[in-house]
Amino acid sequence: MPVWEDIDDAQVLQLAQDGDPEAFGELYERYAKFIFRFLYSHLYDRLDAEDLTEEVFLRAWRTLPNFRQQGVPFVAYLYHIARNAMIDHHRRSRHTSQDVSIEDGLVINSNSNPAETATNNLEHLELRKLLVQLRDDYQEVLILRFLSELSPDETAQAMDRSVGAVRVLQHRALAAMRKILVKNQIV
Amino acid sequence: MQTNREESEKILHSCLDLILTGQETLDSVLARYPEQADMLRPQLESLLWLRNINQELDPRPGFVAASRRRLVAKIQQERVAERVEDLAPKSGFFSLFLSRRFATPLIVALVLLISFYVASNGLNLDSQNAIPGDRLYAVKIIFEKAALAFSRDHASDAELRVEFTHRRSEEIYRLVAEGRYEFIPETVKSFENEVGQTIISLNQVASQNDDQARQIAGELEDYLNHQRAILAGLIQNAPVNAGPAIAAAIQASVKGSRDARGVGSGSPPTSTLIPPPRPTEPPAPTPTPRPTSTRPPVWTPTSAPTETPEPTSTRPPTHTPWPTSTPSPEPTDTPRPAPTDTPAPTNTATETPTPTSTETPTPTYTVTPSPTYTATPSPTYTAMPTSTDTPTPTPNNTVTPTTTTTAIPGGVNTPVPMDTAVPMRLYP
Repeated sequence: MPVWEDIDDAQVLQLAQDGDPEAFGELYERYAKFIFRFLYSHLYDRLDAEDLTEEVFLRAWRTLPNFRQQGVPFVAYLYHIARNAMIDHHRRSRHTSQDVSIEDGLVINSNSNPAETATNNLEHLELRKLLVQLRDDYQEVLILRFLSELSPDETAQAMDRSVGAVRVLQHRALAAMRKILVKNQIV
Repeated sequence: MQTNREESEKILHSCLDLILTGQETLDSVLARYPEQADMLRPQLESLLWLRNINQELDPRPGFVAASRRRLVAKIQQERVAERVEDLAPKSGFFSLFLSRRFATPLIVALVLLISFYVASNGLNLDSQNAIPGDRLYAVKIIFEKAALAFSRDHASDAELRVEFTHRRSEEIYRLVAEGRYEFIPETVKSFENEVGQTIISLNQVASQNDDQARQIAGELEDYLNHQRAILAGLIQNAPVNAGPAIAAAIQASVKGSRDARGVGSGSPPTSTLIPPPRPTEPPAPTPTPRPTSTRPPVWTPTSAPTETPEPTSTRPPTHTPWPTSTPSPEPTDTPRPAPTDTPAPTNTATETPTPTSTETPTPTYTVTPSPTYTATPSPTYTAMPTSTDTPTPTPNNTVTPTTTTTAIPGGVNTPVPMDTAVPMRLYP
């Protein structure tokens, strides 16, 4: 069993592409958090986001032989899959952001303090309420850049835009976000 | 223009870092860039709000580790299924050389042979890492049974059983370490059974080769002694509800050690399990007597047929008289026998002495001071490396955007549901 901490992403990816499930598990450990954040930012239900996170990586594993390391960065590749998985999820469940009530969005989390859980969910709901007032591409750039913490290059790859276009979009999205924050008396 | 944006973004992020690390406040940082303060303030306020909420979007503690296990198990399961599919009759190899009728039994035989090869050679098969509750655990057990089915003799059986005893113990340790307590009682039962079966196998070996049996029994005893020390450490750290199961494992281990010590010494094992009968040698065929030649039949002459006489004419029948009725005698009463008294039984029972129970001494287990169990630290999360070597996108990676939302100037508009998009997918 290799010491994963000593192996960089490209090597782990190569091992996974060679068919090593444990190496792919390591990639999951490294990227799952960011994909989860991306999905949870778009969804109301934490459990849906958890299920979809696993689904995204399973899809990635199945198509891994087609992935070329010198092409799109792996993280951008994952975001493409995540976006498609989310669209499929919406199709399946017919859940739109408008028809989910606050009660539906509150997920009971037995692993943590109930008060903390409720607070977390309220903040998440607040985020969702604000984000849905933004254009889709504004939502996307804000989520990728500041919630999933992708670099401008990675965001550009994930959004199929140039880096310059991403910077412009980000600037406008932050300004639009500020207007909504003011309108909702949050800042 | 782009350089200006890059520059302003750099300023924005350096300001954000200063605020987030508590070195400066929003106002003090804006005072550093008075010319860009009007542009920076809304951006920074939005960014700060997003950064604060960012932590609330993290997965639940333990989710990533648990789902990693699930994911890897699922992948391994898919790979096993793929391997079996690859061997299916539809493949070119089998269609070339075999008809479908023979291909399926051959695949089954091949899978069994591969299982045997893999299990008996101790290769690190994927399923060998599975523990109770994992999907691949059943595969692991099947491999073990296959290995036993293909073992050559009692000694091989015993060695495999010792190995499986190790595995059950390891599973108990891992279940405790991972907090999956609900599977512990079942695993302890398997451990007890495995120890019992190992002793049975060892006694069978002892009947053929006493030295070999003692050697394997010694290994088992050493291992069980070591294992008890770990279990004693675990029982102190495990929750109360897992305690009885671990204590049962310790008891089984004590019993196993005692039985292992008795192997080859002529004392019967204390295990109550009945040894499974090993296939006995088929009886040697006894020669069947060769048939002796029989004499050919001898022709015996028969006398020549005599001439049959011609039928003679018969007389016509004469009239027969009708029968006349004969009177039957009247029934007479038969006397009924008078009841006779039956003698009362005499009490002849003699009192039998009741057996006196002799109490068998129960073995007392003294916990030897043991090294405390230290949970293996889980790998620490390493931050996602920044992609410094991001290659420029190749021109053929033109992905059709999944959403077809048209940009509306002004920024704030009503949301468009995402599922209206009809993507042309390059990604799954």
